[in-house]
Amino acid sequence: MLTIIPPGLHFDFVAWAKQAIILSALVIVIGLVSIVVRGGLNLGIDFSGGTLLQLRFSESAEINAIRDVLGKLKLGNSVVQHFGEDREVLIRVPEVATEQADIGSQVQEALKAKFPGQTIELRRAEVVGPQVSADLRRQALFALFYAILGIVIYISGRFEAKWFAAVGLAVVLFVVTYAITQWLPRVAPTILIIVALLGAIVFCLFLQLQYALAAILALFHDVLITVGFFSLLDKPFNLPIVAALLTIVGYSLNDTIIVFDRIRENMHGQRREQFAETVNLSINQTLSRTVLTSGTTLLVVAALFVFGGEVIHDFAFALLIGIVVGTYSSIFVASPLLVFWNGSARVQGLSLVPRGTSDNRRRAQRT
Amino acid sequence: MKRALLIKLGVVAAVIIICAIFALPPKDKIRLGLDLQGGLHLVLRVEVDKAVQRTLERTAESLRTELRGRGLNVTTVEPDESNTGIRMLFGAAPDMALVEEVARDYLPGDIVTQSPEVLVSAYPAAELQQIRTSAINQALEKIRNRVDAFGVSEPSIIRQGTNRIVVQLPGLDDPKRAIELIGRTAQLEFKLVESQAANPNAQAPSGTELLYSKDKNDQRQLMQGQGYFVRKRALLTGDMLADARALPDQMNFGQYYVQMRLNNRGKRIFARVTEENVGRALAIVLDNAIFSAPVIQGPIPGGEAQITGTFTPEEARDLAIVLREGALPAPVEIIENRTIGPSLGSDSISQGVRSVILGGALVFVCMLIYYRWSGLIADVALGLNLLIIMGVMAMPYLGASLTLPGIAGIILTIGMSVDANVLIFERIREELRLGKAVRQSVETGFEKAFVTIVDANVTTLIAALVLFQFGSGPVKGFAVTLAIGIAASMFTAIFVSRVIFETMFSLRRLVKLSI
Repeated sequence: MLTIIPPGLHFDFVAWAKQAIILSALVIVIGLVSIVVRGGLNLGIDFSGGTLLQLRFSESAEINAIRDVLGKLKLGNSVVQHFGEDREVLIRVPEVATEQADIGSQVQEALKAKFPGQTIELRRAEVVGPQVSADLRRQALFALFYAILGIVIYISGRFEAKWFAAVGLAVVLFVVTYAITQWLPRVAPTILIIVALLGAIVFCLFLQLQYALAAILALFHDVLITVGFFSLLDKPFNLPIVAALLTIVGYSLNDTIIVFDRIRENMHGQRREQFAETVNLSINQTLSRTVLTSGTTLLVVAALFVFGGEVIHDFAFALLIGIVVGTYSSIFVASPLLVFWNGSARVQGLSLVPRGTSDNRRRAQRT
Repeated sequence: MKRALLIKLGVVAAVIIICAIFALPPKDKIRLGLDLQGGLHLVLRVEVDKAVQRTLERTAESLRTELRGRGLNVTTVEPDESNTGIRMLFGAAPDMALVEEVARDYLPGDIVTQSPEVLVSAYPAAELQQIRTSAINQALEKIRNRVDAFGVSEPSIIRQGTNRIVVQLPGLDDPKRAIELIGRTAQLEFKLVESQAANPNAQAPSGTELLYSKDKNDQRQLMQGQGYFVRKRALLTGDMLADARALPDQMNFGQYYVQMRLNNRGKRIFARVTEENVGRALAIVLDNAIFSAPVIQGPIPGGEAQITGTFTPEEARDLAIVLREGALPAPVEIIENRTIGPSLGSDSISQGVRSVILGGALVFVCMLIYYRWSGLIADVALGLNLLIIMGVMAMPYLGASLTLPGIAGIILTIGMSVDANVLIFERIREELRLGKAVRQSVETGFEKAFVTIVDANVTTLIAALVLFQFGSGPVKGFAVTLAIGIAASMFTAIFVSRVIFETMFSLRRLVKLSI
């Protein structure tokens, strides 16, 4: 059998926990700093309103000349950039013009006048008014909120078999948020999400739901890093990106659940002190599967990233980062957190146990 | 072969056949979203408050005529400041009983005396709401008719929320024209001209308002032309039109004009107006802009009038359409407009399909190399997976359409469907390493992996469900393909792969498994 991960591998993942957490913290902080320095996320027109035009020229387009034209049309604070190739240009205007239908053709006419030799094709025009962008913002945040809720309930029920508590938590959160929206309608959905997250964390701490808490924190970690990358590379944050984030959340949880399932399976009849060792063993046992799945998913998303075209490019990028970080977090963030809370002694050193050792068999047979 | 196995094989075969029937050939069977087909997506906000105002104005107008007709000395009847009721101003304190008798047919609310000469009547909230609702429904109807006249295949026009209308026109050639056609209020009024406004800043004479004519400059763009003071009261309105038609201008080649024919009531009024006002100009006002103001030469009993101007054939035709179908009950504002050109749409399709094929091929090869013949089984399951997704998408009852993020969802599913197979195969390998028999290992592998597979996929399913609920347009398409893909991958990995293995075992005894 061809194997990427030798079956008897016993790499001490838990030993690297401290370094891993420091690395993660560093990356998260860099991302946050970038967001602060740039004055918030680069919200796309879905969330901030405005006009987006994608134009294709018959020959290559000069950005500066285009900026001139826009300036003359009093659309000076527009963003102009190449989109994929030299011939294609993306123009983003923060305002929604009064003659909405005309802003696209207005710009087109002006550009045609400026570049008489070229044919200019309006490939795409998107105009989002302020009411709609406010709606989309709210919807995106509520989507995140309900996703968090759903996942917290599912994890709590699944891992801790505390379905009642989980449903109870859901009801409480729901009632609280509903009350807030009724009595304080001005409260932004962002506050609701933070309340929900804090509520979930407190709940887990209170009921000692370690698995659930570790999983939630790992998800948090994944989202923060992905968003940080987007801010770092100044990519626009649109609805599809939020969709990608939610998908990453669901996907990263996959990995985490697989490892946690193994840990619990292996912990049957084990003593508490051997927890760290069991965690290590479980990670090693599931490593093959984790690497393979993430690897293949990465492969297909990379195909989308390279060949899928410009329009879906940012979406594929988000997925790419999310899958990598999600896999990383299941191994180096969620599991070590569990160990940390169990406070067991950690297994030191790296040992490669050769195939077919009786040691290995005994361990495997215990499950 | 055992009966149970035959039934299972039958199920698999049935699934294949059903999906194949639905999904092939994909070009015809699968509906494309706007971002792949090209087209227009508009969200309109109907200014329902203006509709309320207009209804109040019309009622006020009729009420005034009626009150006067009964001999009451009424000066003005108009909507109150908040547009929630009607205010009547009399020259002297009127006969309340008479006023109430007359107003009973017009006003739904009670009449209250604010002062001896001023009577107000507020409309009940339910009545106002009724006006708003009816305005939206009317607007919906009219826009639908206009779009029908425009001739788009498979348009979608639906109400959204309390005052929004969503219009989707796939495969549109000229989005600009469609937008103008839809967004135009098209309120037609005939008003008498008092005088030209030499100085637009001067006070408008009482009973008149300042309106401008529309002129086209050299670049054929509309701009404000001459200002006129016209009488506020409209003598004729668009609902008095029986028909409107675009006809070629005989004198100016290439230009068109719109011929209007009035209905019986309009004909009578028009004849009277033209008879009484020879020598005056009658402004034809469309959406508060003067299109033309010809001088009345003599009485016109025939009830026909023209709107001339430098119209292209399309402009004239579109104007005729909106005049025929009637004015929108209230102005609409375009709050969202997404136009995708067909070239971008087809590019996106080809790029998306390319990615799917490439991604699928990569996974196919990887599985083959890593799991050998068992990998082939996984690949067959993958192929069936794709077929099922396409089949479900093509089902007409679901109304699902494929978007670019939807294609991304399919690609993701390819990657994730591998997961289920990997889980099973890795367990099988573990069992084999422990020295168990081939058939036993396979069965144990499937059993042990089952719970984990379901677990792992449920979380992504939750994400997909949330996205479906809160997403819009292309994102919804992503949620749909993701959800279908996950379900399909669970089915193919757990059921179909197992059936293939079992079939293999029943055909011959395997001592070694190529995995």
